[in-house]
Amino acid sequence: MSHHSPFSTYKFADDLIDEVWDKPNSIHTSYKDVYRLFESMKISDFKKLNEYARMSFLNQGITYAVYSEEHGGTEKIFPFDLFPRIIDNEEWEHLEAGLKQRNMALNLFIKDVYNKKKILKDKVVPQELIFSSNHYCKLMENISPIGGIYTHICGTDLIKNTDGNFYVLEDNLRSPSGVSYVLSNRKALRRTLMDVFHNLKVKAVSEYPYELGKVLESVAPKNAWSPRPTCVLLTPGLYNSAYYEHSFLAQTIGIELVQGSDLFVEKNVVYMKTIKGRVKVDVIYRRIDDDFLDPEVFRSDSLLGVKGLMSAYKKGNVTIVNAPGTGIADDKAVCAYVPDMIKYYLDEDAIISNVPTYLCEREKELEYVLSNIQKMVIKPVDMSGGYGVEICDTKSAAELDEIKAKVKADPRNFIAQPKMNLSVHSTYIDEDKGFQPRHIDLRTFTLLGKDYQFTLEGGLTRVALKEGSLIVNSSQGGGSKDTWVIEA
Amino acid sequence: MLARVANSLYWMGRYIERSEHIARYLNVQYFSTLDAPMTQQKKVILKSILDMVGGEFETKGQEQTQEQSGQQQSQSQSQTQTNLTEQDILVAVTFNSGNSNSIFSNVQNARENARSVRYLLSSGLWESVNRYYHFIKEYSVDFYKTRGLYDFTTQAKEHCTIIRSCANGTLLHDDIWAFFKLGIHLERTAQIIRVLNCKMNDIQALTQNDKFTPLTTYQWTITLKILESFDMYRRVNKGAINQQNVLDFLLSHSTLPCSVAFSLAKVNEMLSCLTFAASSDSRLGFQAGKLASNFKYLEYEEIEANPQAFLLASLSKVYQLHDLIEKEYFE
Repeated sequence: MSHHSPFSTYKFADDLIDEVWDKPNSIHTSYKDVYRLFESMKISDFKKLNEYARMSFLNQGITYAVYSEEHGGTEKIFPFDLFPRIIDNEEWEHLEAGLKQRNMALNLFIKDVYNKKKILKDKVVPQELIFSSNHYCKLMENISPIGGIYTHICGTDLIKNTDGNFYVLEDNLRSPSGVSYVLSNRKALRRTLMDVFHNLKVKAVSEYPYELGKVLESVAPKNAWSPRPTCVLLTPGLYNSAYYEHSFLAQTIGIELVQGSDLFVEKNVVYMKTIKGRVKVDVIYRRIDDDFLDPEVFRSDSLLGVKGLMSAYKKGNVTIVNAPGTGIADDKAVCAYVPDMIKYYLDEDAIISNVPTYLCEREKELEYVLSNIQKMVIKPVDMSGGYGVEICDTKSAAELDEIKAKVKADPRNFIAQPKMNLSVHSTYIDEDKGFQPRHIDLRTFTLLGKDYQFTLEGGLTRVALKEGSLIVNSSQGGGSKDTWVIEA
Repeated sequence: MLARVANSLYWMGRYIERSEHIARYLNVQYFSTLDAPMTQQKKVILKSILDMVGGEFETKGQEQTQEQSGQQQSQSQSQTQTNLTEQDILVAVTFNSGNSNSIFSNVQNARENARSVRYLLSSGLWESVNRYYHFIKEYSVDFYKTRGLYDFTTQAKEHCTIIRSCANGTLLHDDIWAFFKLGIHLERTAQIIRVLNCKMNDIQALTQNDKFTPLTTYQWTITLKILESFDMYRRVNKGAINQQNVLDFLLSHSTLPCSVAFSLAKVNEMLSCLTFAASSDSRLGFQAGKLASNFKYLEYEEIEANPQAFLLASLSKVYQLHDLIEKEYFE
């Protein structure tokens, strides 16, 4: 390493897995091309590249807004790191098989829970756990969605631990977001690092919208428009923080982007209001929560949803993607049972393990958690975005007592996991004028249609930009990286 | 197409066009005061800038009614215009986000509308609107106040040119394009009339109705320049620059893009792209055709007695047309 390279102050961590470096000063084979390019750059060149990527995001409007009175507020770009994360093909194939297996089992589980409830009767999963979940949706009982599909889109978060293995951190089965960043990051990186793409065979991600469109059409109701069903994306609107993604997906799939006020239900059929009058809607890819879907049966104050939607759904005149009530399976306490579900429904062992999880509602496990609290990460079972997560080894004795009291007061609402050290990855840090290791995870995207499965090759690598931080969520100072699966 | 989407496309066009007219008005009007033959002119011109941007006219048909425009109603300009310094006025009409008529507010509204339909636009068109917005947001107000007014307004005009060109060059010329262009041409019709009315007020204030002073000629020249029609005027009219010739040219010339007759013809052209949607009892096609014909066959003698009364009556007819469009497509 030359003295002035962007790597000259890199702080190697002995006790962590660094995805880029096998050991200090010895680069992992698959990263050689990228490293050679960055290493040859002056900091000023790199800053220019960084600025170019930033402008490209700003001009494309890939931003989220922070509104204020003065001068219309400001807009921020989700931080994007130019150093891509690379996954070998072999490792990826293993993960892909595991993700497909997992989504298949989760889907069968949800179907079972809302119909015959066999897994509960057989006591493989305790039924109190399900019926006490905030996401259990009574209206879904005995409904059979087209193709028996509930979890059309599944976003599973993976981490790589110090032992070198990937583990599942959690599944997101309601409206997993982030896929637009995968595609935009790739576009930005192709523009900035085009010469590296010449040498490496990076698997494409661009077909995702097409595959998602296929999934939507595959679950259209029987009375849908032919030859092409009318699919729409239902967004809460312009001011939602994921609006860019909604707009991006509607455009790239080639479907209408609608708001609740554009739709209405008459005689159990959903229509959208167009300049030519009404048009029947067949499939709704909704990006609003269950609670807001239909003011008639859920929250009556919802302005985002459509009155009568659930009765149209019940009659089989429209498909909702993902199905309502899928949240029961992404409850973090239920997540702990996924390996058992895989065994129960598919008679297979889980290909990817879960992060070991202690359910605080079980007395013995609660006892263990409380007496080993410093080693634990405590999480509320139904929150996302990294909110409410307590990493206990950084807490004072008083803080720990507070956490213990909180858990004891409502054990069903918490799980605990031993602190897993996420792997780190070289990441450009502006203040250091060079690269530094930062913790990363991987959000993956798996699709399930009627007789059809697809996994996006790679996914969204999220990076905690604060030194030492394990929280990668964008709402808490996280950024993202392009993720390359390299063909052998 | 969703009715809401049609509404957004139309307003996106209207706000872009409106922002350009304000920029052109500022650009030409302000610099005209710097080499003016009379010093009192400055006061009149600043008031004229405020009038062009803000009140004076009825506001019906001027504001987007949908909640999606997301803007708070601003205080009316006329309440605050007393005691403002020259710089205050210039900044207020350009950057003030609390003033719903400022260039900034117009561009912000245009962009919000574009954002809600961007999944139907070409990336080129969306990015050109988005860049226009960031251009204004990032422009230094201090530089604008001291030396940047010409640079700012010129660049704003260029952004509008790029946006129109992206729309024409990259969109399918279907109903999406037609709603956007309908917004542009309807707004242009209204703005030309507004410019003419404001300038006639200026001339009255400056010359006390003496029609043949050099100052009158100068003000009519400025009017032509505001509407970027001065060069073409010289090709058509070799003679004097006077009220009759200029009004004739800007109201009823059939091939001048910045004439009312031309803009209304375009409005009709866009409406005919959209006729599939029109209900049989709609007055829209009839009214739009009638208004266009009025201007196409207008003779100066018909309006000579009171041109400004004619302008104001015409403006309200344009806004009535807007109401019919709204009823026909957006509701």
